[in-house]
Amino acid sequence: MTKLNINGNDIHTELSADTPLLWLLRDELKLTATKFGCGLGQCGACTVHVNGQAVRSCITPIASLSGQTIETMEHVNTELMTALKRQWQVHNVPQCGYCQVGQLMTASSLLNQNQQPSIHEIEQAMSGNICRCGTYGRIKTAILQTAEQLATEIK
Amino acid sequence: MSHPHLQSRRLFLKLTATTSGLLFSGLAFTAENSAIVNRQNDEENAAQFPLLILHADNSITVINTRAEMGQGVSTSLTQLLFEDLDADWQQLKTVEQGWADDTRFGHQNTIGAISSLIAWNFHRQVGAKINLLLREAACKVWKLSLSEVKTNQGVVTNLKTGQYLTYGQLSKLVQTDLPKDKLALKQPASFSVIGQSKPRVDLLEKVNGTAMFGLDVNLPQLKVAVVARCPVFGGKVQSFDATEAAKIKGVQQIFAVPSGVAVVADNYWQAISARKLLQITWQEGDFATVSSNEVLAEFKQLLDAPGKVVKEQGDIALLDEKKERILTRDFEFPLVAHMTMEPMNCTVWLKAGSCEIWAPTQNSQDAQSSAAKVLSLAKEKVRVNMTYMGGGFGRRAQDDFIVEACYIAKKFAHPIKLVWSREDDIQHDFYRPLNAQRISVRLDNNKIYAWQHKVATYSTSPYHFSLRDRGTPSGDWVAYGGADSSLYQIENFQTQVHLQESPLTVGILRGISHGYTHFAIESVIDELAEQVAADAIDFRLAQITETRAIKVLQRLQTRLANVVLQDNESLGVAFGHEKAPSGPYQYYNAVAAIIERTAERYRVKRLIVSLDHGQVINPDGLLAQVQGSAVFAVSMMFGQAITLKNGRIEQSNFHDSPVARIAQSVEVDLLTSDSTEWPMGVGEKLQGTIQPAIANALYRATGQRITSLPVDFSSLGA
Ligand code: FES
Ligand code: FES
Repeated sequence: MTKLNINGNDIHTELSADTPLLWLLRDELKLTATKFGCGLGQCGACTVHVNGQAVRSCITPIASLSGQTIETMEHVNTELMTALKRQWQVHNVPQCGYCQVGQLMTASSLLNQNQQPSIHEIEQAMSGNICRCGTYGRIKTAILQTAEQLATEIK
Repeated sequence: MSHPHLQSRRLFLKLTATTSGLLFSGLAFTAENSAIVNRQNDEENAAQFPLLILHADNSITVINTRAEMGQGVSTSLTQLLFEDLDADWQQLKTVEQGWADDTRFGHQNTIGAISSLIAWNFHRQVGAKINLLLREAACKVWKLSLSEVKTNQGVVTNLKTGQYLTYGQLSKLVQTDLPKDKLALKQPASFSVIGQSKPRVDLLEKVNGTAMFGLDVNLPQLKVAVVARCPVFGGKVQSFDATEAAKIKGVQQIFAVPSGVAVVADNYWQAISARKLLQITWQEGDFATVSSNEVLAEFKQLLDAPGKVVKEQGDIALLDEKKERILTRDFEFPLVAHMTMEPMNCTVWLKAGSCEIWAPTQNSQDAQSSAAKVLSLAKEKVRVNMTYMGGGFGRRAQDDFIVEACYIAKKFAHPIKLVWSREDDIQHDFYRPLNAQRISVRLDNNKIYAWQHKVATYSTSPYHFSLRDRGTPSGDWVAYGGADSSLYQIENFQTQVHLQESPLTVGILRGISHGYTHFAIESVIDELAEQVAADAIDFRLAQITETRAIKVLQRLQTRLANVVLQDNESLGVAFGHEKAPSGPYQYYNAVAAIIERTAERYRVKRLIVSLDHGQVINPDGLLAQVQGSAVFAVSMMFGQAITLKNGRIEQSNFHDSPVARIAQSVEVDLLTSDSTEWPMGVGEKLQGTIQPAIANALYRATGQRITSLPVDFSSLGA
């Protein structure tokens, strides 16, 4: 039995301890915003927040997460995420859309730690998130504009 | 008047709401879904047409009938529908993904960037016909004739009195049977929706994560299935022992299916963990000794032998005449996998005498026929619901994963969801076939005088995306298309092919054969231009007579006049086109690629793309497709490698078949035409232009011609 806190709820699960968080989220809790892309920590589609940090849920066994705060896109409603989602829409970012939740989760984790990232820092932070549709250019613009917008709001 | 799709969606919602509620109240459910629930309320008052539902509150629900894989058909085709319907974009409530239904939706196979071409007629006609029915309904109310009313942005106006009725107000009165006869459509000058950058209709749900992809389908008592497939193509299960695998908690059943051994469990992790414990003896078959480097070597040898002539004009013997210079270039291209972001998957619910399927498929109608065959049901008894798809790139035109899911579902009264791992996806793809090519050219007076193009590759006929064309010569066209026609005016022209039977599943991939045949052609054209010391665009212009093509090239040339290259930059160009012998299928594009030498290597920095693919439906959507095509080309040229050893694919995931990441994104500068011709999609039509443009730029930088992929930086001195 593993005890986790997911999206503000205490969850008790009988799944085997080696089960990656991704499959608890998707198959048991039906939280399907978090996607499966590779199962190997290579693509970022499965990104969630653990204590506010971007984590690849496909390679994180549930046993390693007891006592941690896990959040998925269904629950993250910070001002930052709202601002990011707005810019994602302004720039018409998604194509197939499959990678986008993972992109947003990584982007919000980045801007949490670094309010004014350079292009290079954005490229580094986002390098683990693949988009086969090639929306990278728009993702960069959306992140930069979110950072700019939040900076002016703070001033 | 019950809407079958609505019923199933409603059932789905009701049941998932309950099951997830048990665990985790409300969290999995959001606004997107409740919109559908709300719709029930005014459904009685709604008028249902083939492609849309007109609600009494004047809002419109559109059914998207073609595969939405990111290319934006849900948006662009709604624009076509709304144009001739003369509806206000504000009326659009939602666009739902449709289902396979040839009687209602016409042709639905979404390949070859033909959606806009088809919808240019189909969707616009439906829009125009509903518009007529609405005017007729209003005429009945007002006792007027058609000439005394007109529509504008969702209302019908009485020209005599100035009164008006909204489409919504007419929804209770309007006839819903569409007239048979074709109607006149709007002229481009009066377009108000076509040509506008409407934001994607699926934007919000794709940002929130509520968009339902195939993998996200959830049903009561749903179990997850995985299949262990023979690592060697064409291999079969000889025997298997599931003793250890069956011990994994949650495993329901393990059994043989035609493609391997299926494991069904409560969740994916249990299924995949059990699969690892299966002891399977495979009957590997004859292919177990085959390796791709040997196949390629054989293909290269075949180029020395005469092949089957598939196109000829003039006298190709003149190639050998002692005239001007002759140039011969050989090329070779590897296997390429699609690697869609969402791996293959399919959910099947077999009930007594009928079946419901949810599948991310580009080919819902073929999927319906194939499923009906496997399940021994009449086609009408199989409903194939289309979900959003995490990329398609041609992979989802195949129905193998749907057929496989049907075989598994046969064993159960409850629904099953077949899930492929990334490894399954890469190792059991329908690859772009590997191939060798040779182009031999003779110039006369600086113009192309004789041109021979030879292609040696695997036949794609057995795996053609259309069931109808499987095993026919037309199923092979995708293996060499592009080599058999030219817009360059060449008197003496010949195409020869060597097509070998492939035990390896091969098929269509974004750009099909043009991705490699045009690569070869445009590289050779570049080399010829250099030999005669001509400007690369001037040289092309000198051999082309098609006006639309000339304009595309000239527009690029004009833009290039203002481009100043930095010291570490080089530029290459290429031209692309297709033109069917008859009918509206044609497009023209030209690309200039600018690459830069950075500290470690070469990087594709910017593309300038000039194109005329007919009427632009959604400019920003078009730009997105070009941007995506650029990144896709970079992946294919500098990353992805698929090789076969002993009948097995050697790569397994993104770490050993890498794709472009964010640092490799490419700036795009798009020059469009103001064409009002039939629109062609652009999604797959640029690979054969972008890639040789990049290759030609690399030549400028390094002095070396790129004749094989992926680009080998070590040989470029990078
Ligand atoms: S699915 Fe987790 S990184 Fe790809
Ligand atoms: S939008 Fe399709 S993979 Fe990113």
